[in-house]
Amino acid sequence: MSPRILLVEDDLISQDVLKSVLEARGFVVDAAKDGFAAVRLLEKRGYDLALVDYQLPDMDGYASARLIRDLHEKGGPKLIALTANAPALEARTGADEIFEMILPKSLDLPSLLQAIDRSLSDPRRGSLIRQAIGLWQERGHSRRPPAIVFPEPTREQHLVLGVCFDLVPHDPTEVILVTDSSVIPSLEQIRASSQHFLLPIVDLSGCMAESADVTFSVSAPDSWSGLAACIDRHASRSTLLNDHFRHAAKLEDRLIAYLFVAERSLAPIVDASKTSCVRYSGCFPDPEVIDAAENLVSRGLLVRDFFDRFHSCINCHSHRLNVREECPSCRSPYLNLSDLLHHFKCAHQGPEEEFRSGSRLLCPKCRKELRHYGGDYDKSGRVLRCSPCGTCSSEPAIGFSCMDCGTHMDGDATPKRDLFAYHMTPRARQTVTRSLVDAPDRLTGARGLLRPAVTRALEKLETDRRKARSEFEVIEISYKARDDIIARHGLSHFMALRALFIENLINKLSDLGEVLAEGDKDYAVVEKREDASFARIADRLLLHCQSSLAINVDPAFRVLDAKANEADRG
Amino acid sequence: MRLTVADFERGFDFLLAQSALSLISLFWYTIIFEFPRYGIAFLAVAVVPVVERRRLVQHASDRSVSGSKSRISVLAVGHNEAGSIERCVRSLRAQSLTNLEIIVVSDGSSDAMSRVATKLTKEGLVDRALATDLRGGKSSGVNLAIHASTGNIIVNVDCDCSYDRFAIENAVRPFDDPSVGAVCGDIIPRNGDTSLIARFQEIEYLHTISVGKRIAAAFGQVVCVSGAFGAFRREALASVGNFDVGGGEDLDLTLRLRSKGWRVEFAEDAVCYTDVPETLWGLIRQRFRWERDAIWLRFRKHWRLLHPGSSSFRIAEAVHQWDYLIFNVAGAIIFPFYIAWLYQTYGTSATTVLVATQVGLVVVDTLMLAIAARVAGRPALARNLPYMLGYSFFASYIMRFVRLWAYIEEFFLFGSRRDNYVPAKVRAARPW
Repeated sequence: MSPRILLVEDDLISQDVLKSVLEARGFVVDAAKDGFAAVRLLEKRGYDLALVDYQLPDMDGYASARLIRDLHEKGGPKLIALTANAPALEARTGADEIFEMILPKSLDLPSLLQAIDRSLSDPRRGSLIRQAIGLWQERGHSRRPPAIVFPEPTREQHLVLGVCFDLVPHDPTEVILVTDSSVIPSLEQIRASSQHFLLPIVDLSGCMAESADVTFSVSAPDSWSGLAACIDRHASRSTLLNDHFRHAAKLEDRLIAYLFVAERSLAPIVDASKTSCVRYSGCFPDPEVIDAAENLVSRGLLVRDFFDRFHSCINCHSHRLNVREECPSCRSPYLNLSDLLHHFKCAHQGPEEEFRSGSRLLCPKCRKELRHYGGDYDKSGRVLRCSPCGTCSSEPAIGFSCMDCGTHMDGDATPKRDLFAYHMTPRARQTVTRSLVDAPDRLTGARGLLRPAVTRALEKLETDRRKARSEFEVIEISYKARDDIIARHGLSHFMALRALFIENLINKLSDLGEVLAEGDKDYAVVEKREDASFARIADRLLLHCQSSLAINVDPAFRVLDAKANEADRG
Repeated sequence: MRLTVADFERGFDFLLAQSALSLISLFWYTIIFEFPRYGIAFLAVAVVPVVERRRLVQHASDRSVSGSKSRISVLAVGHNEAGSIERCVRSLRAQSLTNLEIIVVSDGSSDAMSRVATKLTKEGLVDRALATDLRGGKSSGVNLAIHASTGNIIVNVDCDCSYDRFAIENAVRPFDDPSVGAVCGDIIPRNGDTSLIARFQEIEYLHTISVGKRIAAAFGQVVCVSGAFGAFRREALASVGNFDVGGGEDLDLTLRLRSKGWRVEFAEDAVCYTDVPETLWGLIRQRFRWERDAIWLRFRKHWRLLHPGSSSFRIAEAVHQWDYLIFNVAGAIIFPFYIAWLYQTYGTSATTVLVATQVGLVVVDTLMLAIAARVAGRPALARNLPYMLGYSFFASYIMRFVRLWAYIEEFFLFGSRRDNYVPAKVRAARPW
């Protein structure tokens, strides 16, 4: 027998549309234009479900539903509210208990049909929902948290999750539920470009570890409490953000806002499924999140903490490399340890395989049989013998083979990459919460872009020479040939060249300033002089520092004056 | 027996009173064992420039392709050479030829040699480093290195030597001639200033290697490619089964290559610098070893080269064998008898004869030094002139007796079998 649905709707057009849709789906539908008509129909026959519009004449949907519930304590229909003003209805006492679901009136039909199916499928559902609401209320929440689910839930998932969470997608959504860690790219998209970027991500799969903000398991009471606390934290700290960060568009602003709201660090997590072998907590897009974090470091909003060093593919930058002992000649990894045999009589010495002739040992040079160990021959040592080319060596070469693109690299020429964890600084907390009107220059001024070590050096020099009223300019030095040198000769070679270059620069600048190495770039903090600003003498100076280097590092400089505009030169 | 000035005056008068025939009977040793060598040298000096010019012209025409078409492997094999291997490798990496394959073998070293070699491998200075746990001697070490190498020209170097920037480029140039199987480089002592003994050896090396081998090469008589610096064609080495058990493995290999018909050349502009013994006892021990090895190789292992009935007999090989037998072996054996005969026959006048002989030899040696310095193109004359009197006496009265003792020891006591230069296990198995 087809389920019977009572539609309580005063707008006749909406009533006709919904009625015909539901009937087309096989339901038996009766319509009532107000609460009283509905009660009358219910007295005549039983219904499985009643769809009640909140905005009804004379007696609104809430009052009508209460009346229906009071008249039919047992065996009454399940109630679903349709409203364009969900917050108002939710604010009514006991609305969550009376209505199994509250659906927006602009709801698309497939979602409505799904909700009806779900409601009609389990006769105990309403009771379960009421119990779930009770559990949330114990933890300080008046209702089930509105949630969106990734990926699109199956019917079964929807039924189960729909008990604990309000899966009807209306704002404000409070959490993002994740049932499968394979959707992390979608979550990264949310962090990068959606308005929901500050919401906590709830791991239901148990596979996301620190990537998610919190985990949830229906059977674990602690996880209910943990989730409730997490929702509260995100909600309360979001209100502390200034408008710029609450509605941030740039990834680095979104990142710092999120780290503040979530009260956590940006921590790397080992993940072999990614080419970088690492993903960062919070589900921000990788590798853009690293660039964003580095920018925040340079702004003094994050500090970094060394995590690990990875070798990366010279071609595709993947960190998934197979490290192998290889033949120095043909680069085959097929090396076998072999005994060296030394034939005393003719001085031939070579791997045992070359002497083997069945069970006998025959000298490949003089064809004499070796019988007497210690008399005819001995085993003078062991070597690694390459099976494909036969070359022997005591020390194998180290090579890397990229598991993603197949590129082969020599150990020394393989670039290395350091990864860091990032933590918020006190300054960051001030920045994201402070009104922008108070200190606009602190965010945009050139000094705000300086790395902390450079800022410290600048401040120290300014303090030391305050009496002389000196002014200083900061010069950022980069190396255009860096990537090329690393590709050809390895990172260590480039670092040696860079150190020599910096030593030359320090000698040349003498007591005019200081030179600092920070991250990928070097900085010179030099006294500003009217007769010879750095920009005027820089070409000659850099040429001189470069002249004693075996390979041209192709230095370029950029003046980062704390007050003046930046100027690029190379 | 006390000699007075009167004895010398009497002896001088005695010499002046001799007829030409009598003088020959007095100085027969010098005439037989010394003069022919100098004579050959003087003659060669006249001939060599012509031969040299011909070779230079040929080299000049080949210069553009030399070295570029060969893959060159340099083998440095040593035992406990941790202190010197790095300097040696760096000197090799500073060569004018840059595409060298350098292979280091630590032959059972108990010091840090294999660790240093590994470090150099990691720095990219050494292409391959091999190490054995048990010492097997230089021959087996070099054979292992040859096995690990890939070049078609194999250059064998000593770990405690260093090399002129163009040494290897010049050493491999003669291989443009496909009949050349081995090339010997010039060896120059780098510590000639440290002692009188070292200075004498500097003069000796100039005579015997820088000039002596140049002359020998002109006549196809280079019979030893020094272990300190020699280049070999891989094909030639393979034809004789690489190195045989030592000592004297450098002489042995050269003799075997010659027997197989390979030409052996001397590259006078391929210079290797080495340290020579600085003390007399160090020198004597070294020469004992060299001469003992020469005897067992020439007259035990390769005695067939002297035998006209042997299939391996060749005139060119017989010449250097007889040359060594007459001028080195017989000359050293007969010398004490000559002195005894002089004193028995002429009494105190014998001293005058010996002094006169020595004066004559100093003059000739000095003349040879001047020629050698000119031929070698090195400023060796003024530097060594003050030492010629001492050198002449040293060569006649010390080194000749050292050789004599080495020959006696080897012929009658098989001294080379006790030589620790080669491990005991190998010496015991040595077939000759």
